[in-house]
Amino acid sequence: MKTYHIGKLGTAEGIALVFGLTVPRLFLSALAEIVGAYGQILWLSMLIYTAIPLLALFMMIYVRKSVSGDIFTVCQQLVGKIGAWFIMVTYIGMFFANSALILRQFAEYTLITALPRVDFQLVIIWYAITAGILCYLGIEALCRTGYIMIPFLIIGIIVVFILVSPFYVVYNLAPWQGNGIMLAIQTGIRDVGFNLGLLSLAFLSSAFQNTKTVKAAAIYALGSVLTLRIVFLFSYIMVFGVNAGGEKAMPFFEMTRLVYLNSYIQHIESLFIVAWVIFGILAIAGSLYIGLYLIVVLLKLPALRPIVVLGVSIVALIAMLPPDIAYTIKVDKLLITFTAVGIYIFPGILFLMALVKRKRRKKTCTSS
Amino acid sequence: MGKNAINKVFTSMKRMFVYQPSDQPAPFVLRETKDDKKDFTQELPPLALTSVQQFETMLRYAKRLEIFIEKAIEVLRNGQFGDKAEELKIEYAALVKQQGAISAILLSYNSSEGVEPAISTSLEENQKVIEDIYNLPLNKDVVIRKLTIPGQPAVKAMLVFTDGLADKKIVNMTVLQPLMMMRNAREELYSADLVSIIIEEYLPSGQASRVSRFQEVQQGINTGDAVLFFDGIGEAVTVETKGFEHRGVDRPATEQSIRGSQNAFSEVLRVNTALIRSMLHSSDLVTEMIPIGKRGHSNCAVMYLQSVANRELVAEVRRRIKGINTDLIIDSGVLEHFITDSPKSPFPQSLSTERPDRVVVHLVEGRVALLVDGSPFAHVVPVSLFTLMHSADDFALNLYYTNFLRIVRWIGAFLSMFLPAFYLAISTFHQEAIPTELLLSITAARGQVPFPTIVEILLLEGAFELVREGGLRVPGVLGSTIGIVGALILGQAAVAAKIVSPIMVIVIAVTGLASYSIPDYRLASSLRLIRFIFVFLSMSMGLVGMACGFFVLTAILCSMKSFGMPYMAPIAPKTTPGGDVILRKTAYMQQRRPDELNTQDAIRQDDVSRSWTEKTPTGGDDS
Repeated sequence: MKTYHIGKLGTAEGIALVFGLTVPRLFLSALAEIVGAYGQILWLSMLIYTAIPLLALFMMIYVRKSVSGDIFTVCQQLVGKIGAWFIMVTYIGMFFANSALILRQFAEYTLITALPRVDFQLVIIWYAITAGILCYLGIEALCRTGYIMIPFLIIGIIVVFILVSPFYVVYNLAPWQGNGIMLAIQTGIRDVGFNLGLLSLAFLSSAFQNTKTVKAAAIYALGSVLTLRIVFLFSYIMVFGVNAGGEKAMPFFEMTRLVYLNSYIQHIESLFIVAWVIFGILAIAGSLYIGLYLIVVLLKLPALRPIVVLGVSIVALIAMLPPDIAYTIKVDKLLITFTAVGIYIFPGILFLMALVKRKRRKKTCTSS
Repeated sequence: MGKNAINKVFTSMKRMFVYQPSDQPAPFVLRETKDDKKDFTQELPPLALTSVQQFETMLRYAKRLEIFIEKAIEVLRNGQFGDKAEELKIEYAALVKQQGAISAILLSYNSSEGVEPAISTSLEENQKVIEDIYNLPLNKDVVIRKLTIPGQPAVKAMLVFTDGLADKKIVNMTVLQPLMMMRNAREELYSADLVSIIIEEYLPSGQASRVSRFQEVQQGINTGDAVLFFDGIGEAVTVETKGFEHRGVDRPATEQSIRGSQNAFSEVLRVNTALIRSMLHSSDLVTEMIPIGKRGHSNCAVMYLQSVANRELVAEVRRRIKGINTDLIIDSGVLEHFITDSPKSPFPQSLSTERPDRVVVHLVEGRVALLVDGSPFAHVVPVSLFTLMHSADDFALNLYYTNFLRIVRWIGAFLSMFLPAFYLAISTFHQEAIPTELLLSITAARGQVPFPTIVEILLLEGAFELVREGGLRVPGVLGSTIGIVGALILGQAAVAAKIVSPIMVIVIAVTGLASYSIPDYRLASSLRLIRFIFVFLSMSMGLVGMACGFFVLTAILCSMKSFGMPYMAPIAPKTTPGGDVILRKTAYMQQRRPDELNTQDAIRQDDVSRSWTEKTPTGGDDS
């Protein structure tokens, strides 16, 4: 057994991993922005950009079943050494960039909502160290922690939806077509990068009990993420409407600020800091771990732990690069578009190559 | 030549910055022994041979013995029995004397090398070895009693036992009397198997067994047995004569229950194993005895249900205990340090209990219990965090009330860990979360306190820990009284002196009370320690710091294992729960054993464990 052996993961751990990697942008301004751009029909986009990565994952599962070995060996056998390096380096870049950009955005929101007098670099270092410790403890511990915490966090979010119900204006959901169905479909096809984290199941598939576990984890995780996103979307639109909602920087925080039951239950937004901090760290640490794992596989390193500090430093330094939050959001948007490559092209190519290889093998068997 | 100003400045600067040896004599320091300074990372030579002198002594003896043997052969061959024989006699006496001097070195060497000396056929030789092992006649605890067993011919024998550990009455009645007043004095004992005859016909003792090595002899003598050596026989007999004074079976002191059993373990291992056996009448229950400790041999009892406990788990427990290489294990808590997966973690990885009923419950679930000679606590392995939150009489009380108590305990655990940190975070960083009236009241109370909240917390926590520790050390009933009075006076005085605010006293008092709601003392202690970490995290980053800390703590707990079983099972990883995790089901609904233990028999009881509900009662009905 190699020292970076990732442990044994089950359906619950898989759900936690995917959930942790895909949900956090719900708390960031990405949601508000697309609400403003596409209107009430955004749920359709969400449905599409959830379904497509699921197909990509199933293709990857087929690939992993066809060719044995780790993800680098699989790629190497299907597309050659250079192709495999290219695919691996691209994925590593995507996961590292994802980790860095989420880190920066959560650090900025921490400053705005909780610690206005703290230097943002300090917050970044704080989050980075926490994510580093989690990576050091391993994906098994990370996923299990996520699995324990996520239900409580979801309950908290649902409580907020219920508590803001006095502000619901159902008419805000009309017109249901939003800014156009076609636009929504286009957006759904383009923004598949929101669910890039799903592919982590394919990379770590050897750690799961079997293919059934991976598939179950993917379906349950994406199903619950989609449900949460749509419920959140409807709740958010009903509270703020499309126009006002599109201008908010922190959708969830803005919703929690509205909660008022009596003079003792008001301004609970600071308590919900705990919720989005945990989601944020889960995403940062998860992305970082997948990036590091791919590096370890690519370079055939004997252990992952020694490069955790290096990885954390790189991610923290990248997170400090953007001059302001506006620029960070812009880059994040580009990353979401760019990561579509990782959903459409690479799994597609690998799937086709695996298919061809299988047909060739069948032919050879028949002729012999 | 006089010094100029530059020289003077240079000299004074030099004196200030460069180390100068002191003019005064060095103060007394209790220095380390030579052994302490050794580099223990290097492989050491055997203990007995560390001294070159000892090694040389042994070599000289061997050389002298060799020369003596050669001389003796020569004398015998040539038939020179006159002066030469006299010389040999003198030489032999000198050799015997020298052998006495080196036997201690030899013993030490043998023990360090793991060479077990075998019992000799010579009674004198065996006596000599016993005297060397127990430092006789300096050591007055061990008694050597010589006797002659009547027979044809009479058998010279030697009885060895430890005064105080062995009961003299038992020694007299079950060993000396039957042997010295043998009914058939004409029997030819040496003609058959002497040891068997003695054991089977003459020793009226419950346990008598033959041994052939001195390690077994020591094991017997050290635990209160008497050992019988015979002249001309290379074996001995250990006879059970244990009869030392000990505390009786008492009520539990730290795990009191209202409705559960009222028995607690004592310091005697065999009493403890018997207590377990008296509650679990199963022929399937195995008690393995593993000796531990190089110098102070203690027995460790490993108890499990043969047909239930996972065999790999039992083998691992056995492997870890046998792999302990230390002088002495005085307590089961010390044993835990040697065998747990993460000994540096503050969280307990075994269930330490003084109650036989709790041990029995866990044995039936498929766990393994460890008991050590001299310790009134048993350790049950493996355990999860959730097991440590269960109390002794959980199953003796009503289902709903038990579950209510369990929720109270969990709330207590969270309050104990987070309350001061939460108060610090809210009052320092996130004041908007506090209701306005409460905020005004806190501000008014804190107005005259000169210290920041963190100092207040540390002061009061420090005082609380002092009161707690002081209360423990004060003997008898006074301890708790002093604790309560001390806490009251301290709190009142601190508020009156405006050193702390009244709300802080409430926070710390609630935290302290909450920590007492945790059933496992060691878990409560670890949460107390972690509380301080959370206070510092909260001081640094408010709720963000607390959230990060909580996440990391949970991840650490998820990565921990207790004897290979995940510490957070059955929640993370998710396994089939046995119906007793955070809340519990009724006893008849707990069909399965905890899945995470991977027992040989996963089913505890049938789906319909109350089969009487499906049968028609013989009495009348309502119709």
